[in-house]
Amino acid sequence: MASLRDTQRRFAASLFAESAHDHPRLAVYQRNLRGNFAKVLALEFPVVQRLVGTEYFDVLAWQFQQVEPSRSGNLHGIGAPFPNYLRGRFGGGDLSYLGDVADLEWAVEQSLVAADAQAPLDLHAFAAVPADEHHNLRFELQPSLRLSRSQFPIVTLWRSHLPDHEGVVHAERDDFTLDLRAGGENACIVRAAGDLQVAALDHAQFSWISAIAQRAPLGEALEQALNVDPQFDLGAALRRAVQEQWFSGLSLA
Amino acid sequence: MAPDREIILTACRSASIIESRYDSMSVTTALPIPACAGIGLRALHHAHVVRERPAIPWLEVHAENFFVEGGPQLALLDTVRRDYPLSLHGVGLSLGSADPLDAQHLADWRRLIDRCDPGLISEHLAWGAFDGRHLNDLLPLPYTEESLRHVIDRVREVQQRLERRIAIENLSSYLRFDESTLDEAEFLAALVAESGCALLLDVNNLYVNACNHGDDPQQYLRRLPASAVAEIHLAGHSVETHGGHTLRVDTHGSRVCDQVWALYREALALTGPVPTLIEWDTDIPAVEVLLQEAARADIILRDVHGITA
Repeated sequence: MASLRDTQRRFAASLFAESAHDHPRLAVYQRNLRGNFAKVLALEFPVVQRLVGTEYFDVLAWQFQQVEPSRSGNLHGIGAPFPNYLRGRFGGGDLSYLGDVADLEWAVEQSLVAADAQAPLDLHAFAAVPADEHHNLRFELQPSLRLSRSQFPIVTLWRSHLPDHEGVVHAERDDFTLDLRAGGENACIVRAAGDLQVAALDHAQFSWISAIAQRAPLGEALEQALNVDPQFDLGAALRRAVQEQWFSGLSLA
Repeated sequence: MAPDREIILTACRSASIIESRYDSMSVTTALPIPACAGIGLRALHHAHVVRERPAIPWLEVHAENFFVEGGPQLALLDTVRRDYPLSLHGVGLSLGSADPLDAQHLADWRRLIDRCDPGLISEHLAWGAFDGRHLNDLLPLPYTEESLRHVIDRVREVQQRLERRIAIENLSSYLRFDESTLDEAEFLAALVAESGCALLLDVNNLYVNACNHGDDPQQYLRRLPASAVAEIHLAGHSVETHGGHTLRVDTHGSRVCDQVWALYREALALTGPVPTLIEWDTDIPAVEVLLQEAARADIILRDVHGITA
């Protein structure tokens, strides 16, 4: 008698096989396998879906699923390897920006399900620290803060192709053309005051907040930003970070 | 007070008694799910339900949708939980899989239960993963002594970890296994007897299987331990034809069909009034349509209650 493990091994393998299509009863299961995965992937990557078209997205989802199948009974995690999968497949070609757009979408998705915000830091807490200690400050970031960087204008691309909850794209224009040489954009994503905010950061700001996210003290983060741009304005960067509620606390290193 | 209202309240009270008996393992005081018809709450209707707070006796959600750390999704669940009795229905535990139980999945279940204290929790007599690769579907099991022992052990473990009695649902299946030596009703009866779990009877699934495999649904109902049925699911299905053969597919994309309504009445005659859920997962219509279906179920619940009381 076939053991339970053997039966399930054969069944699972048959669902990934092309031949499942020829058996109406097996085909129902293959349709579910593909359909459930593609549906969740499309919810997580609506802009990638928009950019490649629904039909091709479904093909792409099935090819991706065969390489990177779901690893959990909870489908939330299936999109994690998708940005790198797209970079591997389309890097260097006409769709080379696709992986970076997916990276931004995954960051948005992660931000939406991250733990709720702590009380945001205000500038008074900062003012209470003696000036000669400022370089030793470490900032705590809000749990929902995510960063995504690219050599392509991903934030512009994302904004102009994002469908609303009814699937309507408001900003998209028929004559929208992507200037891949327009320069890279970096995104800082955070849930603040109940809303998701996606801010485009220049390279120096991005390198500054990335260093802070990696637990570097303020002095070190400043140094990294100044290496990117000697004109980096720390005061402006701090004011923006506080205003947009990126920080939840600070401590002295 | 209108007589209808009173009957519903009586039905709801008797449901609480059933609930407290079923829930002897529970460590908390959950808001009980009344023996009336509720609806499955899906993302499409979240905003409407929060804004309008329609009169619905209870709601059920898919547990895994809320396996997150925070954010708008969880905030919504907290709001819904304040206004409605809530049931959590799992689709991804893979109870019958030969793989080990997923500790993270169970921990997520536990955290969600602790957060919203549901009136009922349920999962499926199914498997959905092999060697860590998840198919994210509800796949049928061979009904053998081996899989029975396996599922009994797993349901016991789940109930211990969650400190709750769980209701186990019968599937729609399109394939059966030559190696099966038990029929599904026998399998479920043994599972209930040995694990102490409850049953979630999906009448549409029962009907779909009866058509697809040529079973006798009345005989199936008579062989189930009726007193263990804690909830009933109702949904619509679609009909495909392949080379002259009809295949019914559990799509949850239409109204409940007449044959399923008739079978529902027969099921209730055996189980007594139990919480009943209208499920709709594809081509989801306006909430009003779901409430029309729920109202139809309530009429049958009241009828049958009148007969059995």
